[in-house]
Amino acid sequence: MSTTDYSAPDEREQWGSRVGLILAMAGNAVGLGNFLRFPNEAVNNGQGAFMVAYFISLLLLGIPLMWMEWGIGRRGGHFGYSTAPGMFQSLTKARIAKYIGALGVVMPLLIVIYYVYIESWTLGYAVESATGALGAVTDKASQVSTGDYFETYLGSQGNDSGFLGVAGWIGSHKAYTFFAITAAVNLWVLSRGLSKGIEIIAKIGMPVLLVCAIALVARVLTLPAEEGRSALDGLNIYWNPEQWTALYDDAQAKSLFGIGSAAIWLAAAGQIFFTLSVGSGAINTYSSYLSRDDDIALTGLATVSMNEFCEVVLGGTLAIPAAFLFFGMSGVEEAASGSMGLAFITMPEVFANAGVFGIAAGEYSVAILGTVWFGLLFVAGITSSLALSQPTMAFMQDTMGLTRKKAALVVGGIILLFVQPVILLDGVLGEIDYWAGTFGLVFFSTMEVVLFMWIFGSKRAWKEIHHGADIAIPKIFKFLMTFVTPVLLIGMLAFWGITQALPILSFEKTTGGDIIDPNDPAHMALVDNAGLARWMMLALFAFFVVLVWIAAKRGRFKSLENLAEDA
Amino acid sequence: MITPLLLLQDAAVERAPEMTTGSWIFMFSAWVFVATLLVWSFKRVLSEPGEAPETDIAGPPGG
Repeated sequence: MSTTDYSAPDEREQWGSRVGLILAMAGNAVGLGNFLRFPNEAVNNGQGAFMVAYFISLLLLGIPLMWMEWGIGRRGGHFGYSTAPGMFQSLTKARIAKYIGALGVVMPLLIVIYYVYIESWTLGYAVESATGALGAVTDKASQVSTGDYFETYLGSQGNDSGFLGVAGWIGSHKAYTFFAITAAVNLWVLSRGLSKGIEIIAKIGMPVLLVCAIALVARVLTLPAEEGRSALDGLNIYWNPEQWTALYDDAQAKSLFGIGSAAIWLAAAGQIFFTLSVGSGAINTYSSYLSRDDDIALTGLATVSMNEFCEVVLGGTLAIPAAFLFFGMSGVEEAASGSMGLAFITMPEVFANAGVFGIAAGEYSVAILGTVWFGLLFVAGITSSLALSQPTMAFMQDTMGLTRKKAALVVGGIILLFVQPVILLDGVLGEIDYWAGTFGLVFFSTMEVVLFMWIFGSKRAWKEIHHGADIAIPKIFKFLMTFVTPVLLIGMLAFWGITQALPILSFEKTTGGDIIDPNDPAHMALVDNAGLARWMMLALFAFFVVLVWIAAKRGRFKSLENLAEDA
Repeated sequence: MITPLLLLQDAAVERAPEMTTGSWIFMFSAWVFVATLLVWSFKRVLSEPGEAPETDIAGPPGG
């Protein structure tokens, strides 16, 4: 491992423009969560009631945490830190802070390992749509359903039967091939750096994404009614105020949705974390490339507003209303029962029923609409996966002293190694998603808010966030950040600890909530795979803790009392 | 087991929701809130001087 000259701070990367920064930050937030996870979560977790809990979570958790992360990140960047270990250490005298900060490098890396894999499905399906392969499946004469096709796509590795040749191998290893292409594109962009790689992709990708999404929304809302159902009626799934009682009436919630009121609130809060990318360490790293005097209050709010527009207005008006129009409420619930069914199974069938630009519904409409839909998802995915990869890239460059290209190789190597069980073994993806992409976000956010608002101090934290601000943040947010947000986060962790921790940690229940039957071999195979996933995550965390320890020995971290300028 | 969606079409009429006045008010309030925030924040961002942000570091950490 090579070392670098730490006395050359001007080697740190920087954003090319404010608009580029906003689009990159918005690209970080706008991802698969906006168009896939959000509709699924809303349908399965309270529908109209979910939306109320969602907006309250946005105000009490999402926006305050976003501002805190921008503040921690910009302050860390001022002292030359691009990642959470250095940022956390600069906020306190406690030496353990930098090791807790290692989570801000490991978690985004863990998320990106499976996120890039899912992202590769969208690329694969965009190509399958454009070439007409998906359209042929949706033909009424086809013997294969879109569900079978999706399962075949995912299972299409390791099915060799003799010599296949390159084209044959690719045909029978689609999931692997598109994953390799997607990972290579990600690493290539990362190796080009911030302003020449990530920022350019964001500047091209975000407008393309918006145009594609608006075009699809326009198509969905102008589709003619089917059997008395219109796409507009499908919007009622999100916006029915008669379901609000489920927010506080547990019995009502259970009778309507089969889940308790608390589950609705937890699901809505979880979606806010995921969609805004708070608690992953990615915002901290992106904002570390700002100048000390750059605004974060208005810029942060602009990225949140773009994310919410893409989620609530665009993401909410696409898949669910379209699925409702053609398949009714049963079809929507069936599609939303699996995490990816809506995007990869239902939407191709929707496109097969929807004509476009004077082209009758059928194979050609699937080719056009499918390419736009999966292309949109791919763009949303890549801008997020780049952001999630950047903390590890920055850590390897700024803390461990690797060059950008070497850092990209290390990140690529880790992803390639750890993605194998994600692709090959059932349950590994879900297990990593639960610990890194769900629980981990809440846990890391709690660490951040306690460190920033309570240990560093709310007065200094508030001053830090307001430094160079183009807007005055309403004072109520200081109260929220100091008391409400941390108490809610600690409450969520406590609730998890009481109700979920033991059964999940002891494998009595899956992370998806299903009871494990020890006499069922399929269940026990899932337990084995989940156990492997946990060891993988622990090993990666231990690896980064050791790297942080090595960097600390080299004198890379200064704690609060040793910093020359206390912000 | 994934149920072919086309088979669900006939059975899909039950519990079909319908937008009520309350639904429209709820939806448009949310949309207007989000869209207003988007337009206002971007208008403010674009009206500020558009200089490129520069990295500014107090000093090299460590050493």
